[in-house]
Amino acid sequence: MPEAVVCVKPIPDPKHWDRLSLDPKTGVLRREGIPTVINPLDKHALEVALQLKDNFGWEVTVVSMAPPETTQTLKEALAMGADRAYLASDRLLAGADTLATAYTLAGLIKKKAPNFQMVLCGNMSLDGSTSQVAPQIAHYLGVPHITHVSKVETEDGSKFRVTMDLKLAQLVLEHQGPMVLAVTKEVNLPRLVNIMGILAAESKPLEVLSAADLELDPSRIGQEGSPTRVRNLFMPEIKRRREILKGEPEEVAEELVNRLHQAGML
Amino acid sequence: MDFRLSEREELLRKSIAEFAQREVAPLVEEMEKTGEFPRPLIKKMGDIGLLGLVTSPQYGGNGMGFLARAIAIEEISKVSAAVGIALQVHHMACWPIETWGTEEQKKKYLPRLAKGETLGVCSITEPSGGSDVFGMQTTAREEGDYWVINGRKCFATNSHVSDIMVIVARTGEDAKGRPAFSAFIVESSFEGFSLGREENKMGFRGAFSGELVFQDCKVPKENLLGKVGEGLKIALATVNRVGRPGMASIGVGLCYASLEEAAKFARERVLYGKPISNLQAIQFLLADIYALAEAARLLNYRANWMMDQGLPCDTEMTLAKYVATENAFQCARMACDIHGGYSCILEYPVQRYLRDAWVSIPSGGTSQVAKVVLGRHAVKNF
Repeated sequence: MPEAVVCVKPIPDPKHWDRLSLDPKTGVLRREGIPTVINPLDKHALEVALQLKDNFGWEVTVVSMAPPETTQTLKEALAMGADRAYLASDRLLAGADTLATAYTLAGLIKKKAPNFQMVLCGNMSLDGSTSQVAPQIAHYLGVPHITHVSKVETEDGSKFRVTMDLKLAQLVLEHQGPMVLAVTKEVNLPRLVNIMGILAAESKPLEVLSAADLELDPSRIGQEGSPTRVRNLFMPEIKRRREILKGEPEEVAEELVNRLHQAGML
Repeated sequence: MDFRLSEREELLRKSIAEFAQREVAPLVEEMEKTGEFPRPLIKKMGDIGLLGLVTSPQYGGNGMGFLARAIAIEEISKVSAAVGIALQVHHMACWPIETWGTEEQKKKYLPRLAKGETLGVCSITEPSGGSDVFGMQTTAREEGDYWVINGRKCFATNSHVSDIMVIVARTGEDAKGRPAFSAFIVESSFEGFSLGREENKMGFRGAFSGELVFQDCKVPKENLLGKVGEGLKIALATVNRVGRPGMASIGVGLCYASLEEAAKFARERVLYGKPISNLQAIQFLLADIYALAEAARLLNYRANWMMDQGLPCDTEMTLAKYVATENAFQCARMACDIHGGYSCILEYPVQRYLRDAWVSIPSGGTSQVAKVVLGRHAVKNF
């Protein structure tokens, strides 16, 4: 059966981002006590794969690179309906930038799902927002990629019509053969996990792999293998601008409308 | 002693919370206005597995058990206690059928209940009272291939959205001359069955509570649940082991709903130039809500865990129900205090929590009835 691979990133739950803070000394994000969830767009990616499973009998494999305590998020993906999950987890992988992450995930896919027909990712992660990993994975796998995917259509499960949403225009592409898709939230509404799925997930394989297991080039993984460095991380200061308009009510109202127009708010 | 929930239970909590936000939250306003249960939700609850929590897989359920049920009802009730009680009473119909039913009864009714073809009803209370079970007036007499039932049940949750009901009726006297009762599975299509009035309640709005009317209602003999004379045992066990922990779980859900709303409001509401959460008077209220919520949850989880282990737990279930529903009312009251005048505005949910908590107290037996049970236990055991 054809296989879809879904890349899943565990991130701090956006509902609790008001509790995130930065360590002023190290510049590292403090995320203690904040639950980890699947990056929301990755659930849309998983839903695309699960529909291929429902309609055309595809197999669905989930892959991730994260600390070992995040296996629960992969269990959730299995409970949604994925068949198996692989987690690349190793201290040597920590601190990876997008390129090192993509290299690792591509290595994992080559090792565990070499015959994939489609790799699906969220268009971006809510915590990193780079949108770089999916195209970089495609590069390492040597297959084409389409980002900003808002629609995936197929009649036979082999030839695909994919809509790329460029905001000002939509590009409709047709493709047959292995590819990487990065999807937006418009692509579907992810299914909810049901209780039968939770129980079924317990007997599905979830394997944790080290860098050695994946036979990766040590010079291309983790912080050491990352060509980019975060120079500074800071919380943006948001200040309100306050201005008091004076004059007759009609003049003030007109001026206010003008100002709002200029600010592009009307 | 390990107080951690398993990975499975944590995932269940998360999934049901998402279901409640996506499928239940948008319905609450309409339920409050109309008092009507949103019928399409029944199938959705079946699809996600909520209706089959205490039903074995061979009868179409998932059999995840009572602790899982407590977590699920808690999460649903954080969003809508009305849906919480509809769900919990549904389980009160499933459990006695699985526990005392014949193989034919289990195969006939449990898959339909688990799937969400209908919600179940378990009804004991009559206009003469609920806790005074010997005062029950509804009778059933044998006539040919049928039991013929006459009487009236009231305050039956899910009354107007159910096709399958477990009820108890008087079927004679025991050897000592005391009234004897038997349990029956009644379908809404049976001749002589009709629906009576629908109550207009102050809380649990959107969950039907109504009358079931039996006028020479013909129930096939094979629909006797358990043996003749076992009705009281079935009724009391169902109330103790399913009904009370169900109400306790609703109470816990209301405690945490109050805590979350109160904490959020306190962080956002600015008075004297600062959020009111900076004021000790408000922090003390939040501390009390938090303490009451945690105490209720721990008692409820312990009782349900005991049930899953097959341990005797009637007293623990009663204790959890008493504490959780009373705490829910106190938590909602304090959440309203924190909201000040806003607690009187229907847009703010804390007033709903207060009304729902109030109705949860007499549901499944008043606090005074619970205290009779607990008092007797205390006198005997301490």
